[in-house]
Amino acid sequence: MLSAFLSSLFGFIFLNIPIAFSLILTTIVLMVFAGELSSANIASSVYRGIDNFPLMAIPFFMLAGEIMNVGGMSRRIVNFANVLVGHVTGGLGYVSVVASMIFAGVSGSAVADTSAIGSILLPIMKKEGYDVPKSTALVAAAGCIGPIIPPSIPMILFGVVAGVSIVKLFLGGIIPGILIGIGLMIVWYFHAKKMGYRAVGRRKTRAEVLAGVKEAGWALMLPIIILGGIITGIYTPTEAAVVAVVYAFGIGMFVYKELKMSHMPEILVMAGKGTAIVLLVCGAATAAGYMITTAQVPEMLMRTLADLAGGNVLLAMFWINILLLIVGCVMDLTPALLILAPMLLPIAESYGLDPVYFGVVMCVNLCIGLITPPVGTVLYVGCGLSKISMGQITKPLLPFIGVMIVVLMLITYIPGLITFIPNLVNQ
Amino acid sequence: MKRLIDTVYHAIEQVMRWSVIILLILMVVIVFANVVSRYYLQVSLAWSEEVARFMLVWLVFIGSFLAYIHDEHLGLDILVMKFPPNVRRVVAIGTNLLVLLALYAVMEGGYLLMRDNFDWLSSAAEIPHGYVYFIVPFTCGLMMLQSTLKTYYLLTGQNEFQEDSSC
Repeated sequence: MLSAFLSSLFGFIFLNIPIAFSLILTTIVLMVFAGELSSANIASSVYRGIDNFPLMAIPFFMLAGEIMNVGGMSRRIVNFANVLVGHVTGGLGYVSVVASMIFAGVSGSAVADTSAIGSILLPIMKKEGYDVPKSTALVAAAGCIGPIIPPSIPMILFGVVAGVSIVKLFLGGIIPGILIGIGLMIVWYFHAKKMGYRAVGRRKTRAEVLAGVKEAGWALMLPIIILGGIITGIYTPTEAAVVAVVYAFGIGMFVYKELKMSHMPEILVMAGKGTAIVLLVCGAATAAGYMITTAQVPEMLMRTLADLAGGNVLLAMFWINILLLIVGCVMDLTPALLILAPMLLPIAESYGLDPVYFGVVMCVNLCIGLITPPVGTVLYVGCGLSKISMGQITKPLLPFIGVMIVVLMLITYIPGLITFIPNLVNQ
Repeated sequence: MKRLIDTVYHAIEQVMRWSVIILLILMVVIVFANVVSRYYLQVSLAWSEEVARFMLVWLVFIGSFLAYIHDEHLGLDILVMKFPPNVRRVVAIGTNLLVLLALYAVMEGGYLLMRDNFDWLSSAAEIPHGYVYFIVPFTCGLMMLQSTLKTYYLLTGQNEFQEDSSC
């Protein structure tokens, strides 16, 4: 049964059948094996995987991100970051990391984060004579903070499929996200020094900093509204997401006046299609998940892990991280998370691990997969923006991937880095 | 013949695009209205969560159709791209047929769900579930049409086979 499952799933996926359909085909194969083929069961599980109120946050966060870009909020966030850190050597590199971290406070997707910040900053970095592949690698790596600092689409998905509090997962991502930001800036520091990038402009005066804050004020309020509302429990993540949409729309339309009604159809279709692509996989994974459990795949995984790690939690997490990193190299975050979370969570719980901790580790790990070749959605976005090839970006990426893996190890072995904030808010 | 099919398809696509636009706007309005009424008027609109959820289901299935016609669904082409073009074409024909099978299963299942649930009213808004399920066989049917067309074009070689688009 396990071999039927693995060979059919990977067979279909590697033949380039869209992953959602591969999952449905795998479900059919497993049902035939089990002698209980029922199309009504397939359709109703797919439906059940989508018909879920917390998932509604996904189209809303996607929509908010798109509106921010078109409405001029992203540009102001970049300008604000530039006022803060633009004047130092290689300043634009730090600007991209800081801006990505702020943008991450609104967007839950790494692709959105990378394309928003990259499309503004990469042309400027190129003009300033920065190394293009290195800058692209930095922007892509910084974009991966998008789904780690809340809100986060992968964490919403994990929360829904694993039945874990989405708010706690969100809060658990704050420190890891900041650590990755700091790590990336350290790597960039050494690169900028080696290359001798000159600083752009001088240090800003207090008046200029204040002017920068004022200019970006409306945009900077948005992460505060979202995070503040979620942390204090004023509203749920889904409600925070819809508030973000309305707020971004209002500011873009009436305050910054850069958003036009004529922009809206394209923005809405983009967000709708983006949602459909993620949630169809979610529905299909729900159908497959039922058969995977029936086929006792998690139990088999658990036995394999017990052979490798015995009762040692640290060793078990090490192997789980390795497995996730390998899967992340070839598979996109969403399907990897949706397929593996239901299989791995019971294992984590059998080792007595906190599901919030495990969920955050899993999301951070698979986010690294977004920039590991050969398959990485964020990588494609970055390469597309800079018009460079995957081959050119691979080597400059390595130190950034390295520092992200260091952070992954830190949060894996010091769980307090994840659980500190969720526990604080809980009491 | 191809012209006619393209025109019809374009029209269907436009209708679906606008359905996505309207659904998403309605979802924002309904959920936001509920936030406002809950926090400022202390009244929760019981039907709002349910209706918004049904709209999400419709949005996902219609959006899936739109993504499918432009080949935007998540997939893994690293292995297939290594094949020579004519092998790739044969593989693409085979996988299209498998996709047809998957779509048929969901369409049939969706049809059964729809047929059997017109009497089952949703708890808050009292919408018959059959109408909600309708979107499943409908969009799966459209996607089957699309995948049949793709297979036909691949067999007759009417459109040049898509070259790799990796960056």
